[in-house]
Amino acid sequence: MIEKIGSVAVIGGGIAGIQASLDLANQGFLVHLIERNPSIGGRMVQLDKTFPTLDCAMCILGPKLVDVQRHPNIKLLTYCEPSSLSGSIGNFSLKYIKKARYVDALKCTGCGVCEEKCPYWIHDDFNAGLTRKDKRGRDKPARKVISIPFPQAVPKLAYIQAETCRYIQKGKCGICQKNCDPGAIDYNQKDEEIEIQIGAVIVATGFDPFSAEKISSLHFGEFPNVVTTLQFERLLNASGPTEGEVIRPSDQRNPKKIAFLQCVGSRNPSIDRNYCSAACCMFAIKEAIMAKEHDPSVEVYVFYIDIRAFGKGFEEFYQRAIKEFKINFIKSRVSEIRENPKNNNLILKYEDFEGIQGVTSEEMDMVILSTGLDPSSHRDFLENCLNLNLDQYGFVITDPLKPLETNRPGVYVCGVSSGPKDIPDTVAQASGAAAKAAILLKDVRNTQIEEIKLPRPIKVNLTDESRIGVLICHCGHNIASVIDCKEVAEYAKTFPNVVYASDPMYACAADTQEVLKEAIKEHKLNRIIVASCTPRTHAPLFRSTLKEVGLNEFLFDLVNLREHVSWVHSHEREDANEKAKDLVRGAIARTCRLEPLLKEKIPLIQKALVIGGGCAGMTSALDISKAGYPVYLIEKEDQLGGELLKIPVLHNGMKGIEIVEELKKKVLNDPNITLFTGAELADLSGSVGNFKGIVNGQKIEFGGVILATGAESFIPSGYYNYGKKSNIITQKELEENFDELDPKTVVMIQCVGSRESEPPRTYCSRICCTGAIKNSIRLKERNPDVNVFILYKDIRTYGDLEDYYLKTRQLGTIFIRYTDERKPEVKIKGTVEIFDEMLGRTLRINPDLIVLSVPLVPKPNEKLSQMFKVPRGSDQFFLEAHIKLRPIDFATDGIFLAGTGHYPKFTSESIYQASGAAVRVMALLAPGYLLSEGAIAEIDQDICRGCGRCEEICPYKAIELEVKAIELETETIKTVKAYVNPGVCKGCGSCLVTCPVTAITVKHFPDKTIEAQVESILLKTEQLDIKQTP
Amino acid sequence: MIKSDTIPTKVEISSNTTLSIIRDCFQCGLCTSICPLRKVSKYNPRGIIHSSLLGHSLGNDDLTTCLTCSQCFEECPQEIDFPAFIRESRSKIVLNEENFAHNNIFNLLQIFMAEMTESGMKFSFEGEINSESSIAYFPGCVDLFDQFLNLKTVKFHQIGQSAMNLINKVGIKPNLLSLKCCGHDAYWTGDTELFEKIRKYNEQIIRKAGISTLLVSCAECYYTFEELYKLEGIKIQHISQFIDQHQSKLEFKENLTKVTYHDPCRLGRFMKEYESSRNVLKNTGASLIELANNRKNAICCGVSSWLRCDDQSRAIMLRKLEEATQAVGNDGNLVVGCNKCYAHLNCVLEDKKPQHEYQLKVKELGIFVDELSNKNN
Repeated sequence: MIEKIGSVAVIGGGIAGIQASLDLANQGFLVHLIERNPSIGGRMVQLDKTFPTLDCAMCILGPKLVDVQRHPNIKLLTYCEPSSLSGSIGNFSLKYIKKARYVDALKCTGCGVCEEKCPYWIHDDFNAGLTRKDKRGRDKPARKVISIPFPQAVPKLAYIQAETCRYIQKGKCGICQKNCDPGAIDYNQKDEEIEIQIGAVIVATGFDPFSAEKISSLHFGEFPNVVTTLQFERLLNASGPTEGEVIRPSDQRNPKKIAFLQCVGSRNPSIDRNYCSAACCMFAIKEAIMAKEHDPSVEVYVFYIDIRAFGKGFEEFYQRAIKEFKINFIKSRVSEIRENPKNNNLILKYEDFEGIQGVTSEEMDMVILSTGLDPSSHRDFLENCLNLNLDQYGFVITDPLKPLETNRPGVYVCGVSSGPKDIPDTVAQASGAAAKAAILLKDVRNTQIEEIKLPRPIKVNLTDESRIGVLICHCGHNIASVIDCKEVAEYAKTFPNVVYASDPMYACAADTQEVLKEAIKEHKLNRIIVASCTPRTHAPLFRSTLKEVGLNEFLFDLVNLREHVSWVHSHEREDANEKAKDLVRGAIARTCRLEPLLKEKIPLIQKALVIGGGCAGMTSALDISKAGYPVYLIEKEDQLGGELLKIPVLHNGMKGIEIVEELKKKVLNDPNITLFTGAELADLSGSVGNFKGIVNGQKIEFGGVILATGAESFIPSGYYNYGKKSNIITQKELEENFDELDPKTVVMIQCVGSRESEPPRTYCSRICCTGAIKNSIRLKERNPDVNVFILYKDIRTYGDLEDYYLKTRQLGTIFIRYTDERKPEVKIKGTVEIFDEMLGRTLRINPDLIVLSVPLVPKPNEKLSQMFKVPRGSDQFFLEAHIKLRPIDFATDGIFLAGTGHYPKFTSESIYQASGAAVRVMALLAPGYLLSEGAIAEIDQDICRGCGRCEEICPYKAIELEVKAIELETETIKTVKAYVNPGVCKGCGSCLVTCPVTAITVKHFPDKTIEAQVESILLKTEQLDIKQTP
Repeated sequence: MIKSDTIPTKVEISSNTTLSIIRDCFQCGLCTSICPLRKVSKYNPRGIIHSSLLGHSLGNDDLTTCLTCSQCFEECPQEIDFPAFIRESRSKIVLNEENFAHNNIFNLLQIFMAEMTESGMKFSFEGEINSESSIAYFPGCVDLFDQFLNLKTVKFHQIGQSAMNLINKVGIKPNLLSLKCCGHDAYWTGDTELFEKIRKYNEQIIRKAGISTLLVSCAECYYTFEELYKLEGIKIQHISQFIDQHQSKLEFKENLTKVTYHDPCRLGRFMKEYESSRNVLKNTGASLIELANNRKNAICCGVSSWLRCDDQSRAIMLRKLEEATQAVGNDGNLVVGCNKCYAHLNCVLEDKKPQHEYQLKVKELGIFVDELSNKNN
């Protein structure tokens, strides 16, 4: 038998590769993260904001980049290209070329002097090829031959593009070497071939934007004001070449009228690309909104075929774009772009369906091409090096029921490599791929990694003199555009205990962490204050930095200068500066009084619970079980299978019942899975690591839980006479009675009960377009003479589902679009009237069957939501911790979600999400213990009188009352005392305020620190004694 | 007038097989906004496609207005061959006589030629011919155009004469085939039966001549012989390709001629032959200035298959002359590689004030090259 190796190669360092690496590294596997570019982050680092929450992309990704870099189990292999893979599942040998950077990674500090001094400029890939103007106003390349990829790059190292370097090519120049103080430049570096042994491979190679040059009629590269969405993103970005000012390339003016052209390189069989790129509609809407936010006077037009807002929160985002931001959406493909020679404006010709119909021309200041997702630059590698089966476009082919597996056992795939998708789907899939690798290598976990060795803790006594270090972060321009960070840093230095202060561009950047560590050592700092953004995302990062030098992580405070100052006071700069100083002063007063705290190791139960025995729940249960952990699986119904049992045939031809039977057989034969059907969970107590509950009278204990409760079809009572006539049915009813029904003319109406103007069903149900198309194909294939009309708002067949849309059109299904203003009407006699905006007239159809496409709505989940204290969105689906980057986690630890209980999705999507949730549980259970929060409540047993108010109020059920016998001098009395479970307590402080005798303190926030902080802020006296009181 | 949108139109789907050509449409509207007719009329290919799919039948106007220039097909993301759809639809009905230009004369001539004569068109040109040659030349319907169009400034016969001159100049004595009209118009007006008759006759003559190359001047002949006849073993060559091939044997006078080039639909978008003509023109020493819309974006000359020469057609032609004048000015030349384009554009050029004041010359490629080449070659 082949000896398995407990390490995994993750190929591709974008968000998919990053997520998969972290999930594996967190459970004891060694990960080689291989990235062909000089730094990780992939496409996401080029983004300004992310839809639909408009989070700053760098702000949410940055911490993950740093996590990867500092993770002891991840080997970051940037600027490396894999060259061959041999061996087989469990034991592969991967060779890769470590490309010469010509910069010694051990010596380079990322200071950037080389880049500043280098006299030669080349094409700037990071800024999507945007150019700079030289002194005479000519367009010139914008990147130096030696450069650091971008300010927050991980690793932050310079590299030389050898083909363009004059020294390397011709032996002349050498300026960078002369100017590099650390002596890091090494022109003699050579490419090296390195071989590693691994147990599994995860492919996360991603995509490039489609090259718009390939479509000559778009004049990209010819007309200066025609740009791509990625270029526009760089123009919007504060760290982009224009520092966030949107200008048009021809004359640097701010455009006042801009147009987005959708489907550039997508949905276009004439250039052999029929697939929909799935993300570009939302990408364009986001940029349209951002353009409006930058300049409310700009007019924005989006030319589209169908707006594909099919993900969670997308449709609502699209509606906001229309209603709140007044963005003009025009359903038409532009046929001609001409340039006005006088001003480089662009004249677009298109057919306008609405209003006065006809062909119209509009002059735009700028045109933005929504370029599709193109995997083809990786084709050669995937096909010839990894021997994977690819489709005609270059996407890795996967089985719908095994969406994470490739044709080569032991090689898993995630992200855009296996089909176009957006970030949340990519993240869920990456976790899923990690699950597959973790299951494969479960027996060799912890065999390739080294124990994390932390340095000896620096002893800090409360009586020691405080030596505080302060960082005032610019956060690019987020903070620095309002606050004078340098001045605030100087101000901090005026306080006696502050021995070090600086104002880095990004406090969270990897290099800043190194600077901070050095400062701690050099200045013997024993307390740190970072004034930057929200502690929610960034405090853990700085705390780890403290730990790495041995400083207790609780000797740290974070001041939120971004949310609390620069963002809310952007128009009051002077006052904002004062407020920043006040907050920093307050933090100094508080920090002096902080005590070191220790986190406890708390044992956990290495078992999992999965609620919901549908496709997602069974997949999760099987994965967790295969990874070696016992699983309880609870299904409310009497049989496993969920909604899939009610779908006779899926769009891809698979049969629901067969999929269920296959999974069911595995579940029933798995001795590690304890199944409860017809059962519900009751009496839940405990928390992450140590849950307890009762199922069918049996007590169960588990460390983590996955909610896979699913969704069901909406019942459209009151819509289009549903329920009044027997020939008005839903798609599900059509499927159930397919063999009995033999209609001549069928009208299908889309979006019945979804995409409504009011909650709860404002969302797009994602799968109904494909569902209707599937049924139209089935009807047509059974009887080609049946007339099928699909009345729709937008057809949302994303990714390769577009093929089904094309197929049904070829079979003769007729599509008629309607708008909310003029919905179709079902007359009493069964006639359907629809205003056809394409023809500008009302059509009357006499169908013998009307089929309503209704959304999926979540199964009743209110009870579980309350029981586990996890939120639901306005759509009633479970609400994850973060729509973009944490699609399978709840904000509460130990609870995860999968399947249609999260949002409507296809079976294969449920499957990979279920695997993703499973890997989270594995990572939770793997160490066998939890680390408690340090800042938890503490009850002074001498003062506590056992009233129990704290127990009632605690939202995490962290307080228990215990009867204690207290021996007094002459007698023993029984008394009740409250006790805090350190593994559960989150330190929220609810108990503290409710305690009538002030017996409770929350560590890290004792009254004395807060009082000192408030006093210092309010008194505003510069002479205030903020030295610690012993 | 009744507001059309208040009257519900009943939808009944026909099982018309022609519809399979257009079923892929996803209604993006690109065809309508790119259609050259749309600039001068309400012609709406997207609307026609959608209403056809809904089972509405097309009228004579919808069917005869389309120029089948293929500009929409060229750009359509779903590759819908709208011209083919129009052609097939035409084949299912009888087109009204009044929709044909010039009192239907050219259509009648074609029918006459196909059904009532035993022989093809006879040509007489100065120059050397060799009936044993492996290369044959066919000038197209030039003499008929002279007789029935009766243009003042242009002799279509010269197309054949210039071609003969050039062929001889490069040292070739061609066979001159007496073919009937190639049948392009019969095919594109939907008269498949008539086309087949013509094709059979011509194929027999071509085969009998024992040639390996058939050289033609007209873009429509080129397309028709190559694409529709599919004559195995016989190479069809357009005059531009022929001259390009024999460039080295031609010499040209020094000249300051300014020239621009119009890509005929059948040569350009249909046959993807864009460069030979340009090579030839550049080689003459004339300065070639491109039209604003060139190659695959070239705009049709305005009339197709002698259907509907009306105000819309004239408007398109005038736009073409305007575009050419923008490029080369009033003393320049607009060269075309198609007998029909040559006819239509010269026809409108003969309309004088107040219609227009364009003074540039419209020349057929062979004529233009022959004029500039040294006689004593």
